[in-house]
Amino acid sequence: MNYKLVCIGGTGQMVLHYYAQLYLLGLIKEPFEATIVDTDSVIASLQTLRDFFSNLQYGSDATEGVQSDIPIIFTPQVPIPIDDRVGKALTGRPVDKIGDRHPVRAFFSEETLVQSMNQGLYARPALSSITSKDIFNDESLDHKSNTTAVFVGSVIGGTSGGLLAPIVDAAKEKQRVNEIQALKMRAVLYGRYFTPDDSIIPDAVKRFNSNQLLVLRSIKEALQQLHSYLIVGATGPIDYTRDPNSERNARQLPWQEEHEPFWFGAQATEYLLKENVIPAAANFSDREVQDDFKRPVSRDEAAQVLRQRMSLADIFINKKVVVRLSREPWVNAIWGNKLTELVGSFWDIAIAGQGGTPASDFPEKLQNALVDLWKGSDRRLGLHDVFPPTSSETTQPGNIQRVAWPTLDQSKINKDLFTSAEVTAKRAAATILFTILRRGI
Amino acid sequence: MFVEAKDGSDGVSSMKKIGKTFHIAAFGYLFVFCCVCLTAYAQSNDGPSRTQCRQWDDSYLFLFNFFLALGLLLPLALNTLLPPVLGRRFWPLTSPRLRLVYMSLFAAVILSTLFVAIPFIMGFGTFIFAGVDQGYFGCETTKFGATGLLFGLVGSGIAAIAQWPAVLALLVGACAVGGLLAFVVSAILVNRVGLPSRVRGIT
Repeated sequence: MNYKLVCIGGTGQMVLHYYAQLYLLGLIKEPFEATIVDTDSVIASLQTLRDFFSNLQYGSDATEGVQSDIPIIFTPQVPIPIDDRVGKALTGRPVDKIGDRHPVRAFFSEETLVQSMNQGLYARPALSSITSKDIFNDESLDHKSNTTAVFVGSVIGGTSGGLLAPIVDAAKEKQRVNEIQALKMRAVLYGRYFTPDDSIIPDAVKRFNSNQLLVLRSIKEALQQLHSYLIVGATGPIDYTRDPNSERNARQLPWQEEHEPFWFGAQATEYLLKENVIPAAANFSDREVQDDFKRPVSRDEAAQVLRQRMSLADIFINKKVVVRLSREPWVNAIWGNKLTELVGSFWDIAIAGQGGTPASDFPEKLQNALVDLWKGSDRRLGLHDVFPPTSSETTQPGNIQRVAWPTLDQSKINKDLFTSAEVTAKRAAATILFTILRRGI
Repeated sequence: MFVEAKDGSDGVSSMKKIGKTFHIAAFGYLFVFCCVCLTAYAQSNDGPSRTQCRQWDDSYLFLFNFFLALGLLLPLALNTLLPPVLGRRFWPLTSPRLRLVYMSLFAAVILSTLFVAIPFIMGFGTFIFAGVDQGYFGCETTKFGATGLLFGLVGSGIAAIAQWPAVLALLVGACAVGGLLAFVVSAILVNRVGLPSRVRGIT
């Protein structure tokens, strides 16, 4: 079975931010393929995770890691002309040259037409449907046979409100054309779930309510192919406020409580991805999954795992275990055979990658790559910063040996991926961090 | 500092610990010096004979040579035995270079305390010094044809007990050389049985 997530807009991105963390900590078992569709930029944590996952590739297929399949995050560019005003983007002419009788005036207000595209879509679903239509043909939105796909996005915002229905519809159409078998489509839809900041979008509440009604109605009429869906928010009191700036950076965002929208959305996404029991209902409203489903991940357990794995990764890097290991005569007794073999195998690959030239400084290169991936740089978030801050636990050296280190099968290697010692060190570092975080002790 | 940076251990605290140890050692040796003065003052006018002095000095020198050999070998022995047994429990033992510094320092402190400080505090005639009489302190001023340290290379003609600063320095030096020896052996072993020995480069 394949698992596909299509995360649309800022809400979809935030759900993926939490979902990917739970996967990395081994709390979600199966790998997934995620596509982010947003007219805005991809949040920093997901950029880091996308690059990190791509560094895990070992075999010829993009999903083939060392001894296990790995996730992929696609971030296709949504082509919107950010330098233009809305009017010019829609009509191809300057706003003041658009005649009074031009059809665009029937669908968009004057206020919308003069708005600059680089300031986002301001919760206007119609705008995203039109300006982003090329995304529907992107290959990253194709599905394989035997796939469960979950579409995640809000029905109140501009991007997801306008793109959700066309993307689901395009997936259905591609399934028909390409004769894809056994594609199950589900959705996590966010209604009104946060208190908007009126300074960003004037009359936001009114607009959100209007969007919610419009999009849910159009989904009901157009997306009969959805097997099931779950709605987050939409009714009841709203006591959640978003912080767009910290979401965009996503540096060490604290984990939300069980009931808060993005954490809940990540749980709902996992539930809908793996659920196999609910029968297909003929009536669309009967396909709605209630929010009392059994949570796939316990938050308390997750917090405990997080603390343990983060401590282990921190100490592995700060104590320079790889460098110590490379200078240790009693290497098996202290660090164990598995880790030694893993580092040695990557060292072998590094030598082969540079045509047999000895790479005597490979352990130092690997250590540098570990630091780079874990701590990041001024421009790029490190993997450590994707997770929330935690208190550290003391870890004995012997615990490193207890990690379930993988073994490299050198017959499966894609040599094109390991062309130099630096590149090999980076991929080895990604595999080591992935193993520590996901498998732990 | 160089070794520490290479190994990346928590070097600042290590250096602080070393500095603290040094201060304690300095006070210790000051105390020992005072004891030496008092002991010498306490010697009676009836000094030991030249033959007795020679005999005790030889016994003391034998022990000194033994301790010198220990200083050379102890870091090597510690580096061979401790990491495989306790390395999984203690981080300092997992740092192949820095731990040699710790072990050499440890050996230097233990050997110096045992060989130099104990006689001044507890006196001769007991423990490992059973073959040396308490009256050996009285030989410091006696001319009895002492062999000198390192088979006469250092302080020939002077009683070994009178050369305790040199004894101390030689023991510490032996431990330092022992640390270097352990480093060389460790480097050879790494190439023979460590990670580099398993790397051949696949084609």
